[in-house]
Amino acid sequence: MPSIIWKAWVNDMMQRYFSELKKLVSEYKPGRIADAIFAGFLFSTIIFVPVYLILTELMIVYVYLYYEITALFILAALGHMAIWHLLTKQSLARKIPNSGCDLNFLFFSSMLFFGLVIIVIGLLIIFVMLPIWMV
Amino acid sequence: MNELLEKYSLHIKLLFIPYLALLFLLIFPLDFLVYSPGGLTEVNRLIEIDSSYDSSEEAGSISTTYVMSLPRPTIFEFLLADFNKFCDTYALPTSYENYTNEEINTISYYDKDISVSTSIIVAYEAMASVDPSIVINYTSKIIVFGKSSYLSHYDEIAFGDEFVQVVGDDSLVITDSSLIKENTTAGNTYDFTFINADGDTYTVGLTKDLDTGLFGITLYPYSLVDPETSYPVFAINDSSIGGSSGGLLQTLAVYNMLSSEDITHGLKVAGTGTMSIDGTVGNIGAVKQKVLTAYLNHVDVFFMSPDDYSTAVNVCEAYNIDYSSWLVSVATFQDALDYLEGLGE
Repeated sequence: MPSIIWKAWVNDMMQRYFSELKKLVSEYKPGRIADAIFAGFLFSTIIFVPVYLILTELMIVYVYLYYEITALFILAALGHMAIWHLLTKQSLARKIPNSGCDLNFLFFSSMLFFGLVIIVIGLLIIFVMLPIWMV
Repeated sequence: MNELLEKYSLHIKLLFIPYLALLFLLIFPLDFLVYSPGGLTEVNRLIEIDSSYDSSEEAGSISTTYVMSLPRPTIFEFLLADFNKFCDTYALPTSYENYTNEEINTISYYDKDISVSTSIIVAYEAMASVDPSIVINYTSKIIVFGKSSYLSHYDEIAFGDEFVQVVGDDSLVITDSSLIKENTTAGNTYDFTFINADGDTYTVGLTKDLDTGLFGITLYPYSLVDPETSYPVFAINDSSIGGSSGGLLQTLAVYNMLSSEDITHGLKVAGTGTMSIDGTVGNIGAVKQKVLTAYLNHVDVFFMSPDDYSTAVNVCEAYNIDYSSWLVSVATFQDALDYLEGLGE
């Protein structure tokens, strides 16, 4: 029973996501969306370059804590991704202030998906790749 | 893009200078050298013996110990190291001053290659006396291992180039690098012949410096093993760790791979020390960080040369570490073997 409810909920969410995405593309056009995504990436990367440098240098000096620092890298990647989404959403919201598109829902769903991807990749790095790399 | 620039223009103006200052701290290098503890690397991941060769199953592990050697740290790295009680910071050695960080890494990897080759030769030869089917073939050559700023033709001679000969005083052709100094005169120029990485032979005239009485080039003997004609066949995997300090442990590990008895006895064996072709264990740098690395990784046995042992004891006493059960001084490869065999009795 719970699995049926879960599947129905996921199905409903997916349908809503794709309908909002269609609305977004028709309302903003690809050029504006690409500009917002690029602006979000540029600003979030400028913010996170020092964070990555700090973590890299921490890793070099405290190499015996590499598991812990790798976990911090994963948290930083999550933060980077979240800020990128937030800034892209802000950029789009300022392009068309009274947009009929539910940007909060769209970007929250996307953030959740990419967050899960980063966590899975991060766990793979910690438990599979790091023991192989540290030769 | 413009929407974000407008929205955050005040933040950008306010944070621009602090941002640049932060980047400066994270990028600007200082002429220092930082040593910090690293970790252990199991040798069987670096050197592998053909699996068809009948050897013992390793119950424990044999690992080399690496530390982080960081030439020219950034200001932030320097501050981090200064606050870390396990790290040491030194002024950059004068021998490093002429080299870029890439060149220092290159030297370190040559050092590693030479060390791995030597370990394989010593272990195979030791085991060949027990099992005559074991064969090791190698060729010896002399390579360029260091360059000083006053070396003539500095850019033409690359690290790793093979030294062939030099025509010394009285037109004497010298192929043994140890004879160069006594058969040349300061202030004179001599024709040195090398082979570069592409296999091309070239000759350059190098002048013996009047002040130092040296040519400004370090030549180092390199015994290059041939994995194809040796038995059992072995493979050396790529490693991101350089330096020669893994020599002793690499030799022990290769010996264990060839041996029918497991010399680890289920223990976590680690250590540090270079290996000479005659089986002598040499001293290494950054003893403090290596001992602390061993301690942080809870090793059962940690081998080191007698020269480094007293330094290691001082480090342990300074950090209130009980070293009596795991820190072992060995002068030769045979001493280390004897110690491990003694543990099994």
